[in-house]
Amino acid sequence: MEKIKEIILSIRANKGINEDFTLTENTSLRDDLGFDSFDLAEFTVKLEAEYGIDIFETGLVENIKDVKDKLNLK
Amino acid sequence: MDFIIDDNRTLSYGELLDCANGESECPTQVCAAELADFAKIFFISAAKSRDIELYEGRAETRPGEAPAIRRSFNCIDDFFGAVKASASKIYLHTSGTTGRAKRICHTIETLARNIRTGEKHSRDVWGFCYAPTHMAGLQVLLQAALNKNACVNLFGKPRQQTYSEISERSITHMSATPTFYRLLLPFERELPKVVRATFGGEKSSPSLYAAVSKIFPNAKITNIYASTEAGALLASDADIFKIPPEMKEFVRVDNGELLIHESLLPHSGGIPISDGFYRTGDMVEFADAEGASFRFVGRTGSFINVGGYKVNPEEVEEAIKNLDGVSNARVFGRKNSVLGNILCADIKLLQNASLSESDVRAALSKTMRQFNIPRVINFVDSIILTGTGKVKRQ
Repeated sequence: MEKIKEIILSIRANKGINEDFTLTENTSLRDDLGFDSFDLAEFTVKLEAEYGIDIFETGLVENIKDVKDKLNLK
Repeated sequence: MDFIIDDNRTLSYGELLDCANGESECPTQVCAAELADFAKIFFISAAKSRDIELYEGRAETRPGEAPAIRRSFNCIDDFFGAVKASASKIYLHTSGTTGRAKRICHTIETLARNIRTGEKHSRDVWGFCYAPTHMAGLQVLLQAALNKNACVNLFGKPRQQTYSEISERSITHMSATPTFYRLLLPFERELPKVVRATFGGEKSSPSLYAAVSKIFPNAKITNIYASTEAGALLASDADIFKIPPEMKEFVRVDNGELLIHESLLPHSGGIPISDGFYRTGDMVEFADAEGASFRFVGRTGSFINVGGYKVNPEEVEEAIKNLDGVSNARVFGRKNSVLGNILCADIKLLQNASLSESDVRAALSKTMRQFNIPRVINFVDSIILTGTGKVKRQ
């Protein structure tokens, strides 16, 4: 979860958003984090560099729980 | 009189003549990095009407279709007279910056048609900044040789050596890609003996012309449009090319792509023609309402589809290269499950410059739309170039 949050922080920082936020399994990538498709593309590249898994390769990913499932994280 | 100067190695016009007359051995296959050997094999083969095959990085010669010419040459003018009358077929391979390489057949006549000779050029000293196996390199070698000028090899040399060679060898003429000129930035010192600096091979920009003018304060800056298929075709003073009235019928733009009439191309070999025109693969936009001038915007097939938006990587590279602290940049697409392709950039910074990914993105977002901004940025030590010194995108 720490690593995922770090990646999200870096994506938000690149957009000029520096406020901290609480990350839970229910946090929605689009609605809560405000990610558009370009942010999601960057998110998947950075996760893949870290975990070797492309989370969007097999279907939709809505929230952090979906991300963790795709990455096989508990 | 020296012809080729390459580090500590030289080839004089006298040595070239001796070699042609069989007094020293001439190779039949050379590595193009050895410019003196390359010049020997190229000019002696041409003078004897042998065919020449130019590959990436090497050259080979073999007997031509015409009967072998076994003669000696009285003097260097006699030798270059034979070069100009050569029946050699010269095969070039395109660099394939964005696509598949092609094999194109030229002759000395087609390669030398834009070479200017005469008293005016007799004291020129050339800086050689291209691979010799490519069109632009051959143009410079022919221009220098047919005027018996010295030609100093600068291709692939480090920045400091380039500065000192230009200064110490009194180089007056340079022809190079924008990528090569960018190696001379940031400004270190004036090089006032250079009177002509020609750009070619890639899209360039007014900001680079201005920076290069500062290094070469006495140089006339020109831009040349040439291709492996057609040779040198158009010249301009800046990034806008005017189509001369006499060429208007022979240059056409279709769907943004520049088309050249077959009459401007070499007669034989390897160039696909449709309805009398060759599609260059160069994308242009008109710079005036009458369609009498244009500027280059990129290469067909080099556009990257990012989430349904067509991104011109050369335009993005230009914007990155214009940022303070950037030496060079390469923009490319990578397959991505969300957008189809994600835009990536390799950026080489100038020494002592410090820029972060966020800095680059923030600066680009002032002038570019979101889809044009690379989402993966790597800071690298060097940018991969093609054999002709252009940024390699695939």
